[in-house]
Amino acid sequence: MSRDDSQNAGSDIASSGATSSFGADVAEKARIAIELINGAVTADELEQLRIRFLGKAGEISLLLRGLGKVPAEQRPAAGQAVNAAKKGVEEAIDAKKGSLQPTGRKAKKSIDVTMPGIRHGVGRRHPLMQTMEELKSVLIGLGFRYDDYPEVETESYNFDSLNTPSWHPSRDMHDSFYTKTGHVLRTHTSAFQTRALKMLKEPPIRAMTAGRCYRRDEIDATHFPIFHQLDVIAVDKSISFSDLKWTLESMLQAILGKDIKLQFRPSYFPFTTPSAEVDVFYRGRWMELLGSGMMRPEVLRNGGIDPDVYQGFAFGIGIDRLTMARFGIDDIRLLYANEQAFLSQF
Amino acid sequence: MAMIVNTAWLREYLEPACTHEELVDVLPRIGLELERLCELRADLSPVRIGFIRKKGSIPGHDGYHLCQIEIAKGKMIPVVCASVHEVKEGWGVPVAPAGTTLPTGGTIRSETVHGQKSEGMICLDGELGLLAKGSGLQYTTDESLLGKSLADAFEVSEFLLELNVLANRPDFLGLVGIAREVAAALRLKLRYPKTIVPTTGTPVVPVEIKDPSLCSRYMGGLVRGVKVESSPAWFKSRLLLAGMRPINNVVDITNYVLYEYGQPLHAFDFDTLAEGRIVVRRMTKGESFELLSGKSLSAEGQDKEIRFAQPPLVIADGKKPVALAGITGGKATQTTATTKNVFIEVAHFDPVNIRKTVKEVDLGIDRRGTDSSYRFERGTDPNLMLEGALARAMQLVVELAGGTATDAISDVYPSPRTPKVFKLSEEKTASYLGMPVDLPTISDCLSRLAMKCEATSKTELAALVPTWRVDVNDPVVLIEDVARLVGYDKIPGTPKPAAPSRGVRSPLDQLKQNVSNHLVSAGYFESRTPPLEGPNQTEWLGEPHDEVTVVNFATREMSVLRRTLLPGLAATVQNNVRRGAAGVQFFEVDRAFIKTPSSETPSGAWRVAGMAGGQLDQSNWRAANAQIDFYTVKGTLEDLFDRLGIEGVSFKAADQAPYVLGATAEIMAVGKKIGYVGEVDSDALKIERLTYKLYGFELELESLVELASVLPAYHPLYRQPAVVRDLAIVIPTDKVYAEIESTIREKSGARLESLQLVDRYQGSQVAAGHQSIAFRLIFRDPEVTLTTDQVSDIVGGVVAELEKRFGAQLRA
Repeated sequence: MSRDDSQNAGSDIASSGATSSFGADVAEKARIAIELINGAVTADELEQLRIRFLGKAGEISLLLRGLGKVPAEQRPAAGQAVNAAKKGVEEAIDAKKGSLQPTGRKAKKSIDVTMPGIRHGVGRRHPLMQTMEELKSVLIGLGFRYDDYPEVETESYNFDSLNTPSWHPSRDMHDSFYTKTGHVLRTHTSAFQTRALKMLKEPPIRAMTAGRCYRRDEIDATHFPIFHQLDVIAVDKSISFSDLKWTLESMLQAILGKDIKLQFRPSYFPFTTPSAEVDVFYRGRWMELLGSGMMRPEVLRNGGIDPDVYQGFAFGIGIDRLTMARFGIDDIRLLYANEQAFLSQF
Repeated sequence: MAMIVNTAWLREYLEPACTHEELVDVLPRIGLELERLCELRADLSPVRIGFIRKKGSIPGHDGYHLCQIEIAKGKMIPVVCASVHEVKEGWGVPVAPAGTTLPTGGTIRSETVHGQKSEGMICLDGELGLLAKGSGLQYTTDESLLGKSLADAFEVSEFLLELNVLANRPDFLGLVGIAREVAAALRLKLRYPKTIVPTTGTPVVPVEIKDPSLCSRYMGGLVRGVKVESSPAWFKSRLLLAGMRPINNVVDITNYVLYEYGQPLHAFDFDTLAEGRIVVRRMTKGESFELLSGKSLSAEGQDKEIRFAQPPLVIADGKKPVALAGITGGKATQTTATTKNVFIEVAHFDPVNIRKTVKEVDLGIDRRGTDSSYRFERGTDPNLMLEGALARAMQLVVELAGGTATDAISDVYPSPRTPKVFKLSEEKTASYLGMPVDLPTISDCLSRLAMKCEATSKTELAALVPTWRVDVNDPVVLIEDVARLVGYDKIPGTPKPAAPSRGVRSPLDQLKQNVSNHLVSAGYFESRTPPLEGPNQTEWLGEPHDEVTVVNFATREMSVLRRTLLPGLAATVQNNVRRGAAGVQFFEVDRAFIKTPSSETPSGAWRVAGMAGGQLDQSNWRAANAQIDFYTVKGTLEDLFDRLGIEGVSFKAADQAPYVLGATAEIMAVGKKIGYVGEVDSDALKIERLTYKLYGFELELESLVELASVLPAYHPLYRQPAVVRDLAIVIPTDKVYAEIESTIREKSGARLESLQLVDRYQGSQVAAGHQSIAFRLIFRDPEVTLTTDQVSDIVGGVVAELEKRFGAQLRA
């Protein structure tokens, strides 16, 4: 009930003081008074209410004085009703006083605390980076180290060391960007795998990287020639497909919630066998989310790791698609237009 | 590559037959992803067979015909159609009457075209979803089909599945190969197609392979006395539904069998082959011949532009080349209506050589390679599937085109390829999958995939892998096979105890996060912009911009990796200015690609850059009209350095594009240049409709990593009281602040604990060419309590020095 409503109700009751339903009206007035008192948030406001109802010209005080106009036979009952109302209101004020000013302190200031604060305003991390950082944080907790790796890669690291056959379409000039110097703009963050193995040398190795990748795609609502991936490897004596499943489940539940379902489908990636495409059931639909599998012996060997002793898993996930699914973004171009109205939503 | 699979056709190879639902469920579980499922009958039933009764021209519109089409007995509708696709009176064609929705999604409406009423459309194959490619028109002259729905006319009752065949499994590029795997997964039996038993003995057609490394096997069979004509309707319909165009019965059979076995075939008109023999060889100098498409090919090259490094491999007869081996046939030897005797070829070619030829030769078709060459490039089976394809094709030719196939077939196979053996142990399988798997299970799975398994010990077996499995090159592939047949979903997702490892960020990445978080707190939004830009986008930097240039760029505007992050931020600012932003604050953390020694992989340098302008602190109602200026941006950076614990950063006036000269500072840390901050020239950055000044900065992050990771050393908290003095001086405006400050510090000595600029004033209260600046100085001595006199002495010395050096006066 708004304050205006209650005031109207109050005046109605005041003017109906001499009717036969006097008792009921008094009770109603008390009820409204108590409701307002209970809703008071400052001592000031409470004091105003006390004056309004119990002050010299207060609404309940006036009722007491107006008893004289009540027919004599009703006067005792009316008197009782008004006294009960007065008592009820007094008790409500006392009770409220206790909760508003537990120490019984007097207010020293009277500022309007509802005015806006002096803000400098905060910006936002880009939604892509938020998703990437959350994934990284989860994985760091699982023991994976994070490093950056080159974006301009050699064909050797991007393709050859990953066991990519010579006929693989990703090697094609139609699909990948090649530079004047004969390098390729990395087509996937998987390019980091053998670099990481060579750098870290001794298993157990748990490593990841994330960042930009490039493919010769036409720009539309779901394609952009530059996109973001996160790639992860784990190598040790007994790392298994089962560990891969658990790691993915843990990571994706942390990002997408406990209610997701995962489905692992056989697939083909030159650098993993067994390979699995992973679909996630999220917000009522299945979507293709990432590629994963057990690292090929060739890849381990290219990274200087003996595949007869060690084995490992690898997975790579597209950050753009995941970000779009998480936030319900329907056009990838929005991610690269950087409008404040868009960025401030995340 | 996509395979369009007619489920009715596929199920013919399975015994007992499985249900449609079982099929659709099992395909993705064995690695055949379902891209699309279409129920043709429902899709095609609104389309009717109508007969063209009258064809007329539309005056003034040469590109169009007006046809009167009978779509039901006695019911004519007018249809305007484009004349690029030929139609004739008397043809029965698929017609979609107005109101029909096509399988491809479009709805046909009654409309007026060039003044003529049109109440339907003649459908091309592509519009019906019959063909994955091509856009031709099918017609019939069978009047009994008049008015029938297309689904009835073509006897369409089934589903078409578009399957995505993984690049490493070319054995899935034939229905038999798919059926084999489905049978294995569902524990059914694979039923091979009907074949003849070829006659062996001295071959009637001699075959010679000149280079067995390029062609490891060549088989051929002769069928005499055939009648080449149009295939029967059911046969054509199957090809159409699978995305292939019917030509004549013999050619259709080679396509049909290719589709069944995944083994390419070719049919020659035997009587056109000189000397009635086959030689597989490279072309020789001076030779040339015409391909099926009409494009000609010579040993040296093609047209004027294409020159071959080595003459391509061809199939030749006794005199001349007759086909481009494994890729396409020749025009002169193709089967025609007059062909009597057909020679059917199946062969196995080296994938690398096929790939090379496909890259070199212009086949005269609108795509790269053919259905044949694609399969040879990925690898075909030189044994069972090759033999089966020939026997199957001969059986079909006899059945559909008549003739006899009793001549001894040709078969040249210089070095037969034998199945490889791989050993697989229980232990390795279990360790890879992370679940117990016993030897009988492994043996069962692999046997279902037609691998002969033999136990070599209690825990290990040897598997003989059929030669159609070109992907199997390591025991791990067999582990995948076991996993697929057991079911990926049966593998538990449980972590095993393992040696722990340290999950840490690299110091650089930690710095990137700290910098980003600081800027976000300071009101900046993070921007992500494409790192590829045009070659002239940063011409204001002067030097040539070609550090990392993409040679096969899609658009020149995205052809060079950027060497500064500023243009991307400028584009971001522009987007927001266009939307009417009263103030902007953006940053980006990314690599910039600057000069590196040419021998190295260009690694790029991590940077943070920002751009800001317009209203400052828009949600500060006490100072709602404050504007971002040089000092607010500089202050954000000073706060950043403070937060990162980087000391000794200095700013010095500098001249650097695209910053405005006179409002640019070079930022130095420990004697090293780490970046710039300044007002940016919005003209150089091509930002339009900007109503406020824009400021930018760009810092080298890698130079900061070390500085930011210095651990602070604690010094004792001083308990002696401090003395605070305010000092206001009037000084000529041409004196540089940094020098004034350092003079005060120098003269104050070690007891000056802090110095703060508290005010600067220029205006009528001071003399022209002068300004008043005020400092708050805090003095403290760690050992003793300073007296007022001591502090006054210090300040007096400072004032005297300021007067001497800068002509400064104490402000009255």
